[in-house]
Amino acid sequence: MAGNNQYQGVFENAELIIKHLKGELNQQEQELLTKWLSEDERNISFLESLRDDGSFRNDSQFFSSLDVNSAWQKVSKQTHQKQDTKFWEKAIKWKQVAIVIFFLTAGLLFYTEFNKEKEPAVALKVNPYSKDDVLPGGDKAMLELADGSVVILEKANNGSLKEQGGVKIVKQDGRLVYNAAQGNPTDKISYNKISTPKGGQYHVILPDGSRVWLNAESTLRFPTMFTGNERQVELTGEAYFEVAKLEAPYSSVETGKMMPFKVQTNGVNIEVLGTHFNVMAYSNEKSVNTTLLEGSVRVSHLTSNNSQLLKPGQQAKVNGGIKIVNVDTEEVVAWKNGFFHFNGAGIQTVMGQIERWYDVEVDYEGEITSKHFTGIISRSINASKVLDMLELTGGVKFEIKGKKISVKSR
Amino acid sequence: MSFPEQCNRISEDFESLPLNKGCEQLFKAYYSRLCYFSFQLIRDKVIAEDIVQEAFFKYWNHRDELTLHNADAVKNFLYSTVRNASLNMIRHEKVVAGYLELQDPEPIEDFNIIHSIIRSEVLAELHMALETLPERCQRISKMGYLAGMKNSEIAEKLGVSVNTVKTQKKRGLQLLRLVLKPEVYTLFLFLLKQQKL
Repeated sequence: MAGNNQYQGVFENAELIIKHLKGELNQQEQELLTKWLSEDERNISFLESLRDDGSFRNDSQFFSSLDVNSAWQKVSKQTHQKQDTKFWEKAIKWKQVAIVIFFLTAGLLFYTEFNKEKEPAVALKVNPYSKDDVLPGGDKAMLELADGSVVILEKANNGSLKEQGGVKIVKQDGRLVYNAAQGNPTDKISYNKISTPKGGQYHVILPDGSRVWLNAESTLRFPTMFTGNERQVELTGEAYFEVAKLEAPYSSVETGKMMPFKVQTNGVNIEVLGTHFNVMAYSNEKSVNTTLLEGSVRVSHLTSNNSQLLKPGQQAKVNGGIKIVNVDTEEVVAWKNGFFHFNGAGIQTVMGQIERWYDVEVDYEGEITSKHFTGIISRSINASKVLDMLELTGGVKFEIKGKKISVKSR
Repeated sequence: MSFPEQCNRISEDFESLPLNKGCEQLFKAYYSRLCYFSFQLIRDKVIAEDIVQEAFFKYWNHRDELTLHNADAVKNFLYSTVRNASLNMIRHEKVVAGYLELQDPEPIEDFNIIHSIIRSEVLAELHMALETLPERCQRISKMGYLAGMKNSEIAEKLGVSVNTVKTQKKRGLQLLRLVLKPEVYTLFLFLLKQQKL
């Protein structure tokens, strides 16, 4: 019974899921998890259920409510005293302990249940927008292939989407992976374009292993295979990049020269060599902001022929010229981790993000408030809840009508 | 030989632990998740705890017949024992519940067992993340994020300033972010306060 480890595979799958939730899966593990998910529909719905925050809260309380130390005290003491008695004698003794535990725990449960009533179940008030509400954005994007055909990614099945020129495109939940196969690369470089709508986001792993997270209303154009001396992609909107180091194909091992990765956007070029950074280049924002988290990048402004090297923690704001400021990088990439993160942000900055993520229109009634907002809010909740939290600050009021949000100053 | 002593033998598998701590560590590492596993099947916390404690006893009593060579084998034994005891409990309850329902109760499928084990493992991991926070920070974070108490309420209850509560909550969040991951971290909702210019 005990010799064969019946649940060994289950423990391994649990490990995979934990890593998945932590975002730590490597490619091989990702494949194993995908395989497990594809074995049975119930595995998918099970994984979904793990993301349900209501059950998480209850379950976490279950864990907190256990008193492991006193359980251990009892078990170790019990065995110590009774080491010579026969098993069934112990079992009888044990039943008595169990009865005591039963009453203690029942009392405790009753007590906590009783007290629970007095606490608000949820910190938020019932929202006044129940009739008109807007669901949060999600993993949505459109992929345009080299031949001009278009795939709506949120409607496509998980798995291999297409092979083109020795490159396999695989879709996994909310993520697109380009696997460069071993075969001979074709001579012709073909380009793909992935675009997220308002209220969409997507994660792409490029053929060189670089990862790109696209925020809402953004487009990335990239070759399906990187050849030549540099890797070049084009961006509009916002994206977070984790660029993989890639040796230049023609360099010798000694020089170890890396193949530069270039992002072109709204008249700004960003050149990098293996690094983590965020680019915000929405046409309706005042400046193109490049924020560096790790490594080093060079930001060039084409019209003024100006260029600057960034250090980690710095942001280059390009608007006519290049201005370097120090920023909280957590705040800049919060969107990628599923949050709005505001640190003394003006109402227009706040609403700009809400507009793009909830796919709504925002207008301002009366004077635009000069109040500043600070806080972190999940992007996975409905618009009304986000607005609720903003209203709780007392600085502003909102009204939702269909897909339109009116901002009223107080 | 008592339970703690004999556990030293398997503690070799808990390589990072001091030897004499092995058994206590084993118990503490698996107790909560096994209780939760049983609870998912039988929906009774008291009996679940009872079952798990008995499983540890059983492990101790049968240590000579069992050839458990590593931590995973011990874990496997404990999960199997708790599963059997929980399923027996359910069968027993069905019988006690009477003969009125003659049709077989819907069987608990293997899938449910497997998912329950995975769920226990995942939540144990999450709970451990929360437990790694420094004590004060953890307490305030739990009150704030899990119990949904207001900053002022926490401050009053603990006799500290509202600012302390805010700082500790923020710190808790930052620390959690290091151990938790985007999707799960999203579940902890948050502070939003206003800053005057």
